[in-house]
Amino acid sequence: MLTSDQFFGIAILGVIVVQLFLGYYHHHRFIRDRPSSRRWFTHAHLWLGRIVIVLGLANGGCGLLLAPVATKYAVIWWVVCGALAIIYAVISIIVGLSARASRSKRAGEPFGNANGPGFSPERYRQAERYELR
Amino acid sequence: MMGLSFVILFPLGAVIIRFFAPYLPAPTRIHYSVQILSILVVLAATGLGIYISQGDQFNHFRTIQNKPC
Repeated sequence: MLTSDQFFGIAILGVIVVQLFLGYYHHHRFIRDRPSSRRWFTHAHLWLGRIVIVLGLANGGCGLLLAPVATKYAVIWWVVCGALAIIYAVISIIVGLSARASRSKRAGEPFGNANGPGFSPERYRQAERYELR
Repeated sequence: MMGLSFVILFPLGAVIIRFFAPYLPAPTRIHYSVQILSILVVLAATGLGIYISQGDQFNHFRTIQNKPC
């Protein structure tokens, strides 16, 4: 019979291996297509990564509950890890917003414009339609 | 080891590709190298975890303390 720490530990290990292949696929498609925006597998890779790190941190506390130490150490673990995760999230959101602001100041569009490095015929047509309207 | 990997190594790999990508020569290579290293550390830690869970002490401690997890 697996304890919940063991069960989730094995599940997290499986997700990390999925991340490995998802990351490879994301980079392979990035090199091949040079996309101007993120597609579903890129978002999956980013969000699965964030989620699995948080789950791994939480599961560390479950492991401490099993270990021959006082329960307060598991609580300390969860509090410290939660604080680290929140600090990371806040910094990440601030940096992301400021990067987006500087990008749209340069190009006028959040992902650059149709004639920029993300050029594709569809985007060019789209931009032309947009200008004619 | 598991804690070390999840607290330091995985977030380090994430931060490298997220924040330090413009300042590094080969951010993608550093990102996947760090993450593969973390995966190896996690695999080793899993082995150690399975090893200690096989001992009598683990179940003995768990039953006398009535641990839920």
